[in-house]
Amino acid sequence: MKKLLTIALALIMVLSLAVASADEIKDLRTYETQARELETWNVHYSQAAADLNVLCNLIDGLLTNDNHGNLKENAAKSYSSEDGGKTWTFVLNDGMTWFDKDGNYKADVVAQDWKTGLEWVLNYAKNDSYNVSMPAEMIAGANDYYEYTKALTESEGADAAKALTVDGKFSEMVGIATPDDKTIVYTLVDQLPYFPSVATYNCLYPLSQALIDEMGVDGYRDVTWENMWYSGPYTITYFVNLNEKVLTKSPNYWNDANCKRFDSVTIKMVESIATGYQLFVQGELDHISLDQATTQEIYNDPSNEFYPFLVEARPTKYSYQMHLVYNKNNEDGTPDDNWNTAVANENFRKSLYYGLDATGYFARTNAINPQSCQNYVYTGNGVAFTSDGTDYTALVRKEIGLDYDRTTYNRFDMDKAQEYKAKAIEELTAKGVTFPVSVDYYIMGNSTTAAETAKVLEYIFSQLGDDYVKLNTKTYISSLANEVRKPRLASIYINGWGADFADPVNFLGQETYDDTAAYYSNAYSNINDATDPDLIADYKEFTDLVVAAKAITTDLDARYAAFAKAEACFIDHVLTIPWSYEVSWELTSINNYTKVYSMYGMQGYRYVDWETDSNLFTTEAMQAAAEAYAAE
Amino acid sequence: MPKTKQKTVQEMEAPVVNMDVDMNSIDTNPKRERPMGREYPLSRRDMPEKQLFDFAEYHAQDAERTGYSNYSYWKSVWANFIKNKPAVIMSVIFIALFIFTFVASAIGKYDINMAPDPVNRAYLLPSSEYWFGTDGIGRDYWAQVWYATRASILLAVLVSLGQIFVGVIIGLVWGYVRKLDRFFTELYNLIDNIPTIIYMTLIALMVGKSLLTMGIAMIAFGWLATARNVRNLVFMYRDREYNLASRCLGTRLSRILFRNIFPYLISVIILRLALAIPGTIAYETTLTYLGLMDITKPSLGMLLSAARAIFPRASYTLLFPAIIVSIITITFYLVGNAFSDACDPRNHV
Amino acid sequence: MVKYILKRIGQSILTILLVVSIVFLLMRLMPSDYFFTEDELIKFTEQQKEDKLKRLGLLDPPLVQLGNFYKNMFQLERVNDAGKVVTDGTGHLRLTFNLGDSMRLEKGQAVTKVIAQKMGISMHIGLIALAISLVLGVIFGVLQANFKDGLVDHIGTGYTVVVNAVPHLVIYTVIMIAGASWFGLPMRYSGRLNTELSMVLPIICLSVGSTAGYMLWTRRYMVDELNKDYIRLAKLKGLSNRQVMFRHVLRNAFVPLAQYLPYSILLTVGGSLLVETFFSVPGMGPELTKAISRYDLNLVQGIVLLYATMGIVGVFLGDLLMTLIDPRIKLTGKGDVR
Repeated sequence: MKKLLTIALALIMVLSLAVASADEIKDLRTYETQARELETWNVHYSQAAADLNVLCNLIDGLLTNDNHGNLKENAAKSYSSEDGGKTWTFVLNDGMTWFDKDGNYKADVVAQDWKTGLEWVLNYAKNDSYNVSMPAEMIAGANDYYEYTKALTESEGADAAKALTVDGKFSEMVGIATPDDKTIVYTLVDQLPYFPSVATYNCLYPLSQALIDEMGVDGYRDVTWENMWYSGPYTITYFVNLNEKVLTKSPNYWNDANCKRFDSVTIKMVESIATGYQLFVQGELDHISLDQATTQEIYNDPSNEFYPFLVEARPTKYSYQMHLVYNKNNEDGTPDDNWNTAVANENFRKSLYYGLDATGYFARTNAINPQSCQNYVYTGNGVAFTSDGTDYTALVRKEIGLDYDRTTYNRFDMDKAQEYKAKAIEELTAKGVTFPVSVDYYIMGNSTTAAETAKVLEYIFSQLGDDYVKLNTKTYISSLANEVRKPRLASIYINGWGADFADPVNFLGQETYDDTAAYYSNAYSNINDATDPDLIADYKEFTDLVVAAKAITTDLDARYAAFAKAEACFIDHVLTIPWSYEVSWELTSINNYTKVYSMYGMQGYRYVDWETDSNLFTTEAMQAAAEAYAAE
Repeated sequence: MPKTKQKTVQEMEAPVVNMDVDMNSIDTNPKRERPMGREYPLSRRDMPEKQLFDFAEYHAQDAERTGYSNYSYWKSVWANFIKNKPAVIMSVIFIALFIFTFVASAIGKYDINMAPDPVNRAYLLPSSEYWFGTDGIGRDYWAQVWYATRASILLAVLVSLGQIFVGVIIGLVWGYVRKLDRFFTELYNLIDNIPTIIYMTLIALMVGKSLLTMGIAMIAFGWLATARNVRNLVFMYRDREYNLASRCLGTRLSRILFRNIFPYLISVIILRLALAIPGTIAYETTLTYLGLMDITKPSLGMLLSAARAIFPRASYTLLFPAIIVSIITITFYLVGNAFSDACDPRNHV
Repeated sequence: MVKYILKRIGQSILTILLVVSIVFLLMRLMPSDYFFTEDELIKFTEQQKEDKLKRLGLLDPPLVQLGNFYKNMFQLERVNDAGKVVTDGTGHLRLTFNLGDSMRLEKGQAVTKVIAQKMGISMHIGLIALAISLVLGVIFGVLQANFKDGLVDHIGTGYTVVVNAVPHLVIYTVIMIAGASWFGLPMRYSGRLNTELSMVLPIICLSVGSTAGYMLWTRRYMVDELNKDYIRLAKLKGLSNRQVMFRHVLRNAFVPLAQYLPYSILLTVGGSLLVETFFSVPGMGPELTKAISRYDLNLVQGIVLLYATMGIVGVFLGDLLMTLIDPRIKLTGKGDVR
């Protein structure tokens, strides 16, 4: 009797489980706004996220990321370095093939394909210098080869350079070797522990020589979805520009057993999030991101049908900063001495650091929990982890002594700000600065949402005192670079940076003093043209710390600790004002914690191993998933 | 020669024959049986010719009287216009609206530069505190809408007048003077076929985005449609015989254009003018969409642009400016049509 | 007359060339940094940027570039049956029309191919919408003029006013939602499933505005005609209302309308920016704005060439049509004083 009862109970449990668990989605329907339409199908040529988000599904690179952001083997079944990171060996899986869009076999994937791919990228005539910077910096001889092809093109013409293959100068010069069909060995310029993360990026993607033989160099430059070769989990079976793309599960995929895929993924192009929302309401999409107005409308009305399904999205990979410009011009081309003198003063900067309450600004992205957008550091999340799993940014926060408080904006301290303000006024008036100091901020002219957010920013600044600083909003028409950055017209920029590979040097290396490779220093803050000795001294201190940290290549924990010190110095002297993360709300059938978590590179949009639910995830269900994820 | 007696004025004005008929004496029943022989007074039908007619006397005073009618073209136009009740009502509403934009800013509780508060006050529905609700960053929408209306109406009126003025003059010359037809057609083709966004972008980039610049740019490219329309109408009328006659007589070009041809065009021109005003407001929206307007100050184009980005959420943000734009459009449409009808002299009776 | 037509054609070709050249030169007035995306500006050095520009021929003097553009437009080459260029004198001659390759929007695809694909869809939708709105608009305009100041007139006026006053995107959103909820029509254009059905909503949206326009102007021109003396005479003579309306009034009122007809027909190739973006129709509408903002020079020139040709030919045909319908209009001006 007892036995029967137990069996019956077990049966009921199993049945109820079966009923309770909803179906997984077989054919995913997702969307993209028309502004982010794909422009090229050539994975080696492209540098735009809009293209790579699709291409990462079509071709497999050596490595990819898992849902915790860790490196995961993909085409390579193992990777290692014997000498502290100067040479890296990758061993490929068996059974990988190239096929066309209908799944017909074309060729085997072999180690030489990575040689062909690298040659293509470094060849000036074939790839127009796209994606050259990372390999050229890291792989031995890569830069020489690139310069060689450039010289060849200039002296003998593009065809001569296009005719080069891996069997020429390339093999002699460049540090990549293929001892057999399944092994690739990279030789780098120095010990670089973060090199494997670069292997997720398209600059190190494979290219089959057989494909080049079939279509020729010019043919591959203009490759389309119809004639390209696929090696990844999906192929494109339908594409109409600005209308729709359909990705279908590729038959005979080598990793079919270990990789959960959808039968098909349809990407519908929509005009805007608002139109997308209409489609979602009609049941034509499986998830949708919500703008501020929609979020508030649903949230303020508990009887709204979507109220139980509001889910806070995971932060995007961008870390937004308020970049300060140290050498600015007026509109007539003369230097804006007022601003330049003011911003060079540390007390002035500190008054801004403590006196700007960004809560109103956050509310524009996240109306329900504005404090989810807090960002007190410079580097992004998920870029580097110490050996015990701590995120690098946690180290920085410890150094600066400030941690996130998701209920209030606890960096804001008006009393401190007023102290610094008083000191700044005293020091600056002595130098001839007139108050209020004009802060020029530029937004794009066709965005009314940006205009409204700018008004909020004006208000935030005015809290410090209209007699002290005044934010002026100005507009540019289409190109920030040409209209604002080049003529140096802005006082501040609010800009977000995402990593390309897994190391803090990605971020901090952009801000160092007297370094031509430091993008933000040269293009945004113009620090190299500043004259104030205190400012330059602070920057030099920071730069020295960065250089010291870069030199540590064997002990990753020590390396990250050193970078954390450098970053803390950067923030303590308020050489930048860390601003925000992008965290918005959405309605979704996809468990966000099962998606590829890739805070650098291009793997974030791979439609593999996702857990979905044909009903929407409720707020509670997603929170449960978040907790399960954190426990893993 | 018999001397004609000098008559006095009364005598001159007195009738020669007493044409008064004794109404009681007329037999009006045609069916009554009439006996033979004349016993009853006759109806006019049976009177002899002598009684029915008489000589007309020459009255020197009467001869000096000239024809006089107090017809004035514009008075007639106005009279005709007034008769069209819907148009009149709408114009009154529009004028009231325009005056109200000034009043509204004065009586509003908040002004357009109030402190934004996106955390607590964004997208509040209209209430007694915020008559039009709040916008996306928590500012009072009432103040925004009325400021924007005022700015947009002023811009639209100026730009439309400019466009029509330039367009009509160019269209008249273009349509009439054959030698210039080719030149103007080329010019029209050039300007029309080069996408306006290219010009507007270049102008905005090089000269700046102030309201004045954009206004002048809008006039500079807006005269095309009116000019073409006018040119086509002039084509239809320029070879009529009366124009041929004028040319033979050696009339000056400007006189022919303004006296002979222009009056035919008035109704079309008035309609174009009337439609140009809401058209400019709509074009403002396009320019905002392209990023060529100054969006730091509210204008109807900017409000509509922001509201339609989130439509149908917070639909009241779209509703209020849309209603105002609708009122303006309806007014000018009706007024335009009515004025147009009124301007046609064939409608003056 | 024939001489006039030939002269006009010659003038038109000149204008088209002029337009394209001006656009060509205007686009090159923009500083060359517009040509790179923000990403590229980050990753390229000055040298690399200059190299890239040089390779695309953008560093040559503008007039030289213009010359090259025209030189490359028509290419006469010898090809064998497979379509590959041959140099040994075999095969046959082929004249290709080459406008270059799209530099940004669809990298590497020939501009002619890109435009041809999109043009077809825009024309398809545009022509159907034009036909509907022309027929409906003229009929209603006539009815309005006939029953002037009556109920029909007011309803018509109301419709035109509403269409003009309410922002277009609101109208389209309402149509989209209504169409999807009540009739189950697809909300986006799809080339794969139910193509015909998915075109219904875009066509309706396109027609709504044009119908109002045709109604408005038909009514205006007809009312103007109705007041003329010959109409009064016709009525006095005892012609029925219908005969007066169609045989006399409409025929004359149609003349100014006719002048825009060929232009409208040819310019359906341009598509409607709003409707196409809204319904994700892969047509020509958004193409020009996108191409300009992404600085895709070849595509911009190709599109401008297409629009200019259509526009100029349309205007020309419109003038011809006007003369055909109304013999009083003379285009040549023979025997004229001025």
